[in-house]
Amino acid sequence: MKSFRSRRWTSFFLTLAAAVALAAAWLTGRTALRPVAMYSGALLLALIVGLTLFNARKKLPFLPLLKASTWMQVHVYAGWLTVLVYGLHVGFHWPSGRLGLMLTGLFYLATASGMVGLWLSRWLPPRLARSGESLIYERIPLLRHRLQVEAKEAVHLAATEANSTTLTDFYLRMLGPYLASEPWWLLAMAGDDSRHHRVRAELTELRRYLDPREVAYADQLAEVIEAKRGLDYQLAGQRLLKLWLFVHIPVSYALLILSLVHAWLAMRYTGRW
Amino acid sequence: MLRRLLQSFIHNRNLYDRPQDEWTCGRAAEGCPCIYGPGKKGECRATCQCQPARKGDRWVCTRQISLGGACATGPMPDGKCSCPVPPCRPKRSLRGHRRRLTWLAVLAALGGAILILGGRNRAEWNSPGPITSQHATSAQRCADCHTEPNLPPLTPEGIAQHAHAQNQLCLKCHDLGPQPAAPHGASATRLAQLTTARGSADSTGPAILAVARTLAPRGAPELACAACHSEHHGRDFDLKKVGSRECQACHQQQFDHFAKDHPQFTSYPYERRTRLQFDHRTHWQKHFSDPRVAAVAPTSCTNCHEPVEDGRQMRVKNFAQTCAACHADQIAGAGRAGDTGISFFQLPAFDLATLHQVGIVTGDYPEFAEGGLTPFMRWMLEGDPAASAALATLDQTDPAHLAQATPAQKAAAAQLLWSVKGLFADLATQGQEVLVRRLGATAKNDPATAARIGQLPADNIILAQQSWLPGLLGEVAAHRRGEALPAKPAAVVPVAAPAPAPVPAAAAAASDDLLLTDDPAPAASATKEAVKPATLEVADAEDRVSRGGWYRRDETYTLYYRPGGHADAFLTAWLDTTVRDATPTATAIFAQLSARDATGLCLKCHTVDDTPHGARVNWRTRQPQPEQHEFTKFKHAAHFSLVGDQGCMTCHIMDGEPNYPKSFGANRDPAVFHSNFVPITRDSCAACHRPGEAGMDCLLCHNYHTGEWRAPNVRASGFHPESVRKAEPAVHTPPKS
Repeated sequence: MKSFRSRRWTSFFLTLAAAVALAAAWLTGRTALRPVAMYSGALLLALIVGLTLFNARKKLPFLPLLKASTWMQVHVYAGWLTVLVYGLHVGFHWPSGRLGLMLTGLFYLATASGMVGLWLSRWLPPRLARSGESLIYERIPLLRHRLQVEAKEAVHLAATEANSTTLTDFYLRMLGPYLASEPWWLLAMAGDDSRHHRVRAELTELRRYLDPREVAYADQLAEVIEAKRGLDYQLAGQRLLKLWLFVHIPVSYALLILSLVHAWLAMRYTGRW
Repeated sequence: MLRRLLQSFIHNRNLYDRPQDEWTCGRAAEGCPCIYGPGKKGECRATCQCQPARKGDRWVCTRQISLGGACATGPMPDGKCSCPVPPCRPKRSLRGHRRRLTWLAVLAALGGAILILGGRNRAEWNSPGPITSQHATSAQRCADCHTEPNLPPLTPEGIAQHAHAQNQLCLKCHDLGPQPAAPHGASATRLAQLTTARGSADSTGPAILAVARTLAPRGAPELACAACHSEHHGRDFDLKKVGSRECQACHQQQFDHFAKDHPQFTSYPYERRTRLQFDHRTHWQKHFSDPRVAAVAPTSCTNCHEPVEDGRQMRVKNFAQTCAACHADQIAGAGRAGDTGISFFQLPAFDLATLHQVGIVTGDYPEFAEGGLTPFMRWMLEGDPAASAALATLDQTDPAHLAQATPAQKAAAAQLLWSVKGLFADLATQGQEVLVRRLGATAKNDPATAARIGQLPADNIILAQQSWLPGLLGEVAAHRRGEALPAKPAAVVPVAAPAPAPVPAAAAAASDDLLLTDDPAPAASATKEAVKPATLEVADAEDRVSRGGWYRRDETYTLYYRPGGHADAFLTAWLDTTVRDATPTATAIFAQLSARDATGLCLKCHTVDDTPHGARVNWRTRQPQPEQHEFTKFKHAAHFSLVGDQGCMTCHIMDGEPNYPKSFGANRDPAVFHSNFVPITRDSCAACHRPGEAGMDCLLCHNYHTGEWRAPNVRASGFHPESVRKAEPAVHTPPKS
C-alpha cells in the first residue's frame, strides 16, 4: 500500500496534469474560435455536481461506492481543478451581470469555505489529539455537567467538614460560572484561555487560607478546572471543524441550483456548442 | 493534560448518542435523557424511565444501567413504571441546525431561480452584463439581439439553425455583404484563389496554431458572429478586439512574428494604376524645374496631397489647387491650333449636281458645304428610321461623290439630305426638345441628357438657319406634305467661299501645349501689327465664347461647342455615355473626344478602366470610401510623426525607371501597371511594428470583414431593423484583393 505522502504526490501530479491539459485545450479551443465558454461551463457544472455528490455519498454509507476517504481525496483535488475551470469559464474576468455576480460570490464563498475547511481538517485534529483525551463532541455537554456536579459536591463536603465557606465563596464567585460557560469559539486556534488561568490562579491564592481539611478538596477542584480546560479545547476545536460546513454546504447547494439556471439561460440565449 | 479519562466506553454504561438526529433530548446534558428520545418534529416523548417487563406473575424494572439500573421501588402492580420522567424541551442538534440552514439556502436559491426565470425584472436578472454603448442605444429588448427558442437547441441541426437565426438578427443592422458569415465575407472560390496565390510556405507559428487549425469550424454552415464578438462585457468593451492567433486558426500559413514570418509585401500599397495619368517622375524631375513654371510649381508632396478627415488616405487636392496653375487655359483651348470647339452640327456635303441630274429635288442647299456628318449628327439621325435606312444603304459611299453611286444610293443620299434638312428645321423650330428626343434620353430631366445638350441656344440655331438655308422651313414643310418642289433650286445660298478662321500667331507658332507633350516647346512671341480698324472689329466667333459655349462658322456651315474649362459637363457627359457604348457612332464620338489632341484634352489625364460593369472614365482620383472594406488598412496621419527628412519619400521612394506611361495608352486594365514608386517592403513596417513598440496584431493593419457595406444605421430612440433594411438597400461588390 502506498504511503500517505506518495498518494498525495500522485494525486497532486494527476491534478496538475489535468489542469495543464484543460488550460491547453481551452487556449487551443479559443484560438480555433470554438465556444470554449460553453465547453468549460458544461465541465464546470459537471464538476460542481460531482463535488456536491460527496455530501450525498456520506448519507449513503451502506453503498459500496469506494471509501469515504477516497471520496474526500477526490473531492479535494477535484475542487482545486474546479477553481481552474471556473477561471477558464469566466475568462479570468469579473462578471458584471446580476446572476453572474451572484454565482461568482457563491462560488468564491464555497471555495473559500472549502479551503478553510481543508486547512482546519489538516491543522486541528493533531492538536486536539495532543491536547489530551479525544472526546465525542455530542457527549461534551454531559461531561461538563458531570464536572459541575463533581465540583459542587466537593465544595459542599469541604464546607461541611471544615465549617468554612472559603471554597463555597470561590465556587459561587468564580468557579461555578466558569464551569457553566461555553468556550470562546476560536479558543482552539488561539491555543490559550486566560479565563482558565485566572480561575486557576485564584484557587492557588486561596490555598494559603484553607483549612487543612479543605486542601484535599481544593486539589480536587484544581483537577476539575484542568479537566474543564481540556473539555473547552476539545469543544472549541471540534465545533470549528463542524462550523465551516455551515457555510460550505448551504452555499454549495445554492450554487448548484443557480448554476443550473445559468446553464439553462446560456443554452437558451446562446445556443452554441 | 486531563486529570483522568472523562469518557467511559463500557457498552452498558453509555447513553445512546444520536448525532444524526434532528433533535436531542433536553436532559441529555444532565446525563439523564429518556430512552425514547425526541420525536421527528422535536416533541418530547418522555413518560417514564423504563418499560417494566413481566416475568411470570411479577413486573420487573428494566431501567438501563447507564441510567442507574433497576430502581429500588420497582414497577407498579399494574406494570407501569414508578419513576415518571418529567417532560423536557428537546434541543435541535448541530446537524439539525445545519440541515435547516441548508434548506433555507436551497429555498432561497429556488426562489431566486423563479424570480430570474419568470419574475417581472427577469430581463435584468438574465442579462449577463451591460452591453456596449454602441448597442445600448439601439437594443431595447433581449429579443432585439437574441432569438428565443422554447427549448435550448440540442441537436446539430437545431444548433445550426439557432446560430443562423442569431446571425440574422445581427445582420439586420450590420450589413456585411452577400456572404456575411463566410470567412472574410468572401466566397469559397475566392478564398481558394487567395490561398493559392499566397502559396504554401512553411508555417512557423507555435504548435497551438496547428492544433487550433484542426479544430477550427471549417465546413460549418455559418460562423457565429459571437465567435469573435462577445457582448455583455460592459459599456466600454471592445467588441472588435480579436487576437492574432484567432485570426490564424484558419490560415494555411501560420506565424507568430510579423517582422520575421509575415509574407513579404509584393506591390504594397500600389495595387492598381493611378486614376489620373500623372507621371511623378517627369513632373518632379523635368517640368517643375522649368523656369517658366517655377513660381507655381509644387515644392512638396503636401502641395498636391492632403489627408482626409479620418487620417487614413492621402487625397489628391482638387484641380484648382493642383493642375490648374499650369493646365487650366490649355483645357479651355487657349493657344490651340485649329478649332477650339467641337463640330456638333454641320451641313454635310452632297453631290448636288449628280442628284439634280437624276431628277432628284433637293431644294435649297449650299453648294460649298464641306465635310461629312459629324458623329453627333449621325447619332441624332440614327433616331430617324428613314435616315437610318439611308445611312445603311449608303454604307461607305460618300454623299459628296455620287457619280459612281447606284440609283439606290443616290436615292438614299437624297433621303439623307432631306433628313438633315428636317433635323435642322426641327432644331430651328423646336429647339432643345428635338435633341432630347433624338439623343434617346430615357428621362426628360436626366442630368446627363441636359449635360449632353450643353444648353444649346435655340436662337443660335435660328440664326444659323436664316443664314445658311433661309427657305428651309417652307421647303421642309412642303416636303413633308408631299408637295412637289421645283426641280432646280430656287436660289443658291449666297455664301462666299469659306475663309480660314483667324488663328492667333502665337498659337500657330506653338504646335501644341503643355498637356500635349512632355517637352513643351518654347513659347513663341509674336508681335501683331497694330492696325487701326475703320470700324469696330468683331472678334472671332471662338474668341467670343472663350469661357465656353456655342458658336458657328457660316463658311463651313458648322455649329461648334467650345468647352469652358476643366470638368466641362458637355464633354464629361458625352464621354461617360459613349465609353461603354460599343455602337460605331458612339465609338466615333468617344474617339473624337478622347483623342490625344481632342478638344478639352480630357483623356490626356483621365484614364479609362474596364470594370465588370463596363468601361468607366476615372474623373476623380481615389476618394475616401468609408463603405469599402479591404483586407489591408493604413492610417497615414498616425505615421506623420515618424517620417524623416525625406518626408513622404521616407516610405514612397520614386522609381527611377520611366515605365509609368506604359500603364496607360490602349491598356484599360488598372491591374496592369507600372508604379511611379517602389513598393514598400515589410521591413519598413517592421522597423516599428514589433512587440513592445507599435505592436503587430493582425487587426492593426488588416480587416476581417471585407467588401462594401454601409455602417449600421439605427435610430437612437428605437430599434427598427426592418425599417432600416428597407430604407437603406445595401450595395454589394466583391472585395478587392
